Amino acid sequence: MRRLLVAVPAAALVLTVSACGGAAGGGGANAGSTLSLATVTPPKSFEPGAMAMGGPEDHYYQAVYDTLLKLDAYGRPAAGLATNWNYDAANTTLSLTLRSGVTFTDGTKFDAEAVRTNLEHAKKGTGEAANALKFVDHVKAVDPTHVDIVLTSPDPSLTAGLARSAGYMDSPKAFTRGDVATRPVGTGPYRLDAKRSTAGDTYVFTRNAGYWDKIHYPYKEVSIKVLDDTTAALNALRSGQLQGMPGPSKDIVEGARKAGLTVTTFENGTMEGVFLWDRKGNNTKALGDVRVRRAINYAFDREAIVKNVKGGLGTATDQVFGSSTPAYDKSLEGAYGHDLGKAEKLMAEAGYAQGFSMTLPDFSPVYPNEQAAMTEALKSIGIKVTYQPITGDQVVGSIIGGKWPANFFSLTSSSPWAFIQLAVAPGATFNPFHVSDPKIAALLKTVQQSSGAAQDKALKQLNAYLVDQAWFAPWDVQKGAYVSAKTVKVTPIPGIAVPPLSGFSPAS
Amino acid sequence: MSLFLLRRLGAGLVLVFVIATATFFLTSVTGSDPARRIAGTQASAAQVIAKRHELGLDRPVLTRYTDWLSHAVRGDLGTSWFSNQPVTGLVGQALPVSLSLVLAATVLTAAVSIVLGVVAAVRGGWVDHVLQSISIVAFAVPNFLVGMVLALLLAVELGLFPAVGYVPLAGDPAGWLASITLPSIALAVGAIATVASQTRGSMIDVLRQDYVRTLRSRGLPVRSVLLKHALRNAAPTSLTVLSLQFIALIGGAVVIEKVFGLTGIGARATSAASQGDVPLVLGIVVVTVVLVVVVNLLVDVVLGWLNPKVRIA
Repeated sequence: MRRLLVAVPAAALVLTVSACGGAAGGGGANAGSTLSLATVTPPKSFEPGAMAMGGPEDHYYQAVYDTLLKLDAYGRPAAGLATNWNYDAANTTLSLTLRSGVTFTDGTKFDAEAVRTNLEHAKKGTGEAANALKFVDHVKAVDPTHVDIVLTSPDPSLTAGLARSAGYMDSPKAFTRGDVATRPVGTGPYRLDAKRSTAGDTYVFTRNAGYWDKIHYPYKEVSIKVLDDTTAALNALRSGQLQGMPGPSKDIVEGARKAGLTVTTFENGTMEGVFLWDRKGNNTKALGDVRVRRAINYAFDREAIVKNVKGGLGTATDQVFGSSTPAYDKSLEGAYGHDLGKAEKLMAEAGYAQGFSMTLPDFSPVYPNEQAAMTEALKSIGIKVTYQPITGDQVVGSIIGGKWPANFFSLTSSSPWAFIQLAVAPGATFNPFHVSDPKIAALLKTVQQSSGAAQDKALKQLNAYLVDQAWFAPWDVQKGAYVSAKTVKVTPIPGIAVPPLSGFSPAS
Repeated sequence: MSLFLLRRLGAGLVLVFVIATATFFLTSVTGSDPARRIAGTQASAAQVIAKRHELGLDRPVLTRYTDWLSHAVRGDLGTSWFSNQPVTGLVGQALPVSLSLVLAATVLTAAVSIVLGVVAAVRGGWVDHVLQSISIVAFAVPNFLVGMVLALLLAVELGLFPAVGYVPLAGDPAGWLASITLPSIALAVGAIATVASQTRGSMIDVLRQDYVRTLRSRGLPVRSVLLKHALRNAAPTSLTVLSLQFIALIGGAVVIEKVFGLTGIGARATSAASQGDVPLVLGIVVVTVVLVVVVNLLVDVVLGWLNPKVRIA
């Protein structure tokens, strides 16, 4: 009897607690009114100019900020806060016509002066968003609804940047308050509910009642939970507590599929493969010979890598520009089909029949399969690789500093010109040996100063030359994956790392 | 007793200072580049230099240390480099999560392990064998594995508990209990095994003492002999082990917090350390060391109350 007296309250407690637990985690019950997502990192800063160009933090910013331009379903710039835009004949002034009747959530009117304040503030920032504005000389507020962005020289990737983090608009008053990094005041579909949010853990956004584009944001509330443990995130999704999370690896994607969750894949604008930095042969003489770089390209079996290493989350390619970009040339695919015979012949012609050695950064803790695939392919043509340990935060600095002749790498870009500015131009961040080539220089000039069909033609010529000269040994254009509950429909945009917030809607 | 407490308190303060100083210099000489990580992969070299200047990383390490220390003694632990939030706020938000978890696990450990330890010692025979076998298994199984199984069965499959997240006690006590139930059980399993074994051992020793035999021969009820006399004498050993387990549980919570998506001290510490968020790492270290010092002090006080000989020592 005594045991029964103990057991009954204990069972009641468990049932009460579990009943409340179900209610506490009731993401499923809220479907349609609250969108509950997970992401791997909290927002670093809401300050315009401090953000990355894109990535897992996008949802925080997209909830509160509008961008000057948006992206259409194909990843092309479309009307956002600016309803119309056009360049002058020299491509050095971008004129924007602004949407009227829009206000920030602090009541401040959105106008040309707000655009000027934001862009000039963002340009001084220390994030990638600021880097996207590097050609901006000054911004001129012509009248309340017209702005001229005057450039130091043409920037074919500016409109793509303004449709991403470089185009976020914060209230001009926010810049004077001193808490701009943590207290966003945008014109966006939601406003941050600071009282219900816990920094670094959960961010709750409630609807901005007067939002001008409500139709694309059907949820009354958005909750974003920071979960850097993907198993925990997957459990939350399976239990109905959350409705979406990025699928960062093939294991997670396979696990999600087995669990009956929806996996949406899309080209996320990231090119990956072996970046052959040392095209001059400063560090490793052999890489200065185009025949060696071509041999390396022939050594990779791209289809097998995509299938076995990436679990299908990629599209094998021989070129660095994605298929949705004007620089892409289908005829270049297969330029370096897997052919060890050709590779060995080229190595012998270059005087490296016995191969050579390289020291590369050890990425095996993060990319074990990619590194194994690279090692095996290089070994197959006699290139012996020695790996040097490196910590995660030293990777980029050491690459930029010219420490490595090559390494496995991935790079995301908003447009072909953005990629060129990142990894091809002589002063590009990821051209660590500052390699220049007269033909490339001439093509870059043409791309920068032309537009339309002439620009597309020059981009294709540049692409063909980069492939011919084997500046890179690309493997694939990554396929991003997003895992979601059956209650949610997810519509990604090609070239964007994470489906935008406007791409989420109730499945029914 | 006052002198004893003052000595312990003084030693505790020295410990906080030494560990914070060591942490500062260890995190400052790693050669890592948080400025690059914050600015982003595609940021230019000039932007990274500007970020480094903004964070004060271009100043000599000793200047940075004295600056940090002078603010820390006034209760200002700085601002997180990666979230731009005050460190005191971030730690203050994480502390209730970890304390809820660790205190619940400690209460669970104390309650279950004392019952198991006493039952095993008193009953002996097959009951003792079974309980000892269970203890060995519980001790051997990693707590994160227990956590994952609990999450999968009770949260994902049966939907009885939330799979991730923490609910503050003040707003929703039942939700709070639901959010910490599974993590606490996962965290407590190993500790229960350890403390139960210690309780069993010390109870067997005490029950063999002459005074227990005398009490029994005088006809005192078994319950009174066990709970009033034997358990009180066996308690100091169990309490010492329990206090050590409390500190171990703070460490164990790091993994459990990850499994259940709880943003406690452990989860904050691991992400801050992996990012190179030095101000946050330092803040967490200081608060954790203070916590350990306070717990040790409380245990000393309780032990002194239970056994006056401890105070003299």
